[in-house]
Amino acid sequence: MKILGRWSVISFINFWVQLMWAGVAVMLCLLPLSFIFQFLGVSFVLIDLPINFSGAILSERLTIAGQESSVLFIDFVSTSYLPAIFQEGLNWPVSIITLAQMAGLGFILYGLSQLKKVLRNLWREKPFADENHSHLKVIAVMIMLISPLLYGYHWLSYWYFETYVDAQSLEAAYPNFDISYLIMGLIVLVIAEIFRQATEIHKEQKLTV
Amino acid sequence: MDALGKKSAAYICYLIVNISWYISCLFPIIVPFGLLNIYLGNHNPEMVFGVTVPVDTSELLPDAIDKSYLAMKSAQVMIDFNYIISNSPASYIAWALFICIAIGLMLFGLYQLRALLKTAVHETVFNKANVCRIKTIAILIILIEPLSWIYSFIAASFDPIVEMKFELQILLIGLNFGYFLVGLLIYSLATVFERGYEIYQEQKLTV
Repeated sequence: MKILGRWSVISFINFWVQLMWAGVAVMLCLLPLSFIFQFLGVSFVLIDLPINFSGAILSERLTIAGQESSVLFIDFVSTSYLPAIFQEGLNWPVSIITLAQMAGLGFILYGLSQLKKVLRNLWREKPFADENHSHLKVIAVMIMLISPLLYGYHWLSYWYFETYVDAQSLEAAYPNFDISYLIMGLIVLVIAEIFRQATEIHKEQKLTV
Repeated sequence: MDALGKKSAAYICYLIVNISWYISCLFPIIVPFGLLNIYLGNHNPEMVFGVTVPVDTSELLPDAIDKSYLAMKSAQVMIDFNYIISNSPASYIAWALFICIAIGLMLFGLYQLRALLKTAVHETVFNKANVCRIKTIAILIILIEPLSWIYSFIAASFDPIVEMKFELQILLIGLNFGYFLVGLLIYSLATVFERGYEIYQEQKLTV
């Protein structure tokens, strides 16, 4: 199996990353439009917001006929909602959400651009290019930042749901902090450093020859 | 912050992975013993323990809720062990075996990562064993999605035994390329690492 260069595994990954990059770029172009529309009186949000519910409120619907309590919900149920529908003449909460989504998409786009640069070097069979380790370092820091940013985004969604949505019996659950991105970022940081060392060794070897 | 050596990013990772490793070491002892105990009927009926399965969310929301704005993404239910054992013991055994294998694979992957980070802390990353370790980790990550399919197939076998008040379907997990792509990327990095190792060997011989 060919790993580096044209028609290789890297080429395949590069294709998917390019596709993701294009999708995020299109969404990022559309979001400012929705932001402008808020001030023209048309309120809509393109990306729905995540919200989790406690499973307890649905347990009534999940009891087995004739049994005592054989099926039980675990902690929460993951859902999403479109916030614009609940607007009552207030544009600023939806505008804040749109701005947060724009910032988030910009963040993802920048991260994918960095990944694309690394993949392009691997595609050109230049794994020990000087800039690879610095791109990887940027990616590592960005991955570490995902955890707090995602947590903030979930809180924003929770705040909107609790303040503006008339959800009757539904009770939203508090967002959880996901630590996995922090660990993942640290591991990528280690990989970046290994890349830096490998690049140095490669340079020294070239000088020796 | 330094990335390799003591008091570095690698060291923090190593500490976290090490703690996870020692905690996970208890799983191969506790889990099979617990599952066997439940199968033999020594399960405390007061305790809520069961098989967690993803379910079809289309009909879960109460009728009073306006479904035009709320879209359910995922929901999981827990089916009580006693209920499964009394209705379909074979499904329970298949599920228990699968869980034991999955724990074994997870421990193997964690051990490889721990060993890799240990060499990063001691600044001896460029060795042949690490190439194999990174490749093993990559293959294990690629295996995550097929294993979740197998899990959902086993979970789907519980479907006929669970008769609900309304139609509830245990869901088969769809295609998710995420883990597959990450696994391939790590495999590719392992190849780059292998080249780095070869250059390092050549350089050592030259000196």
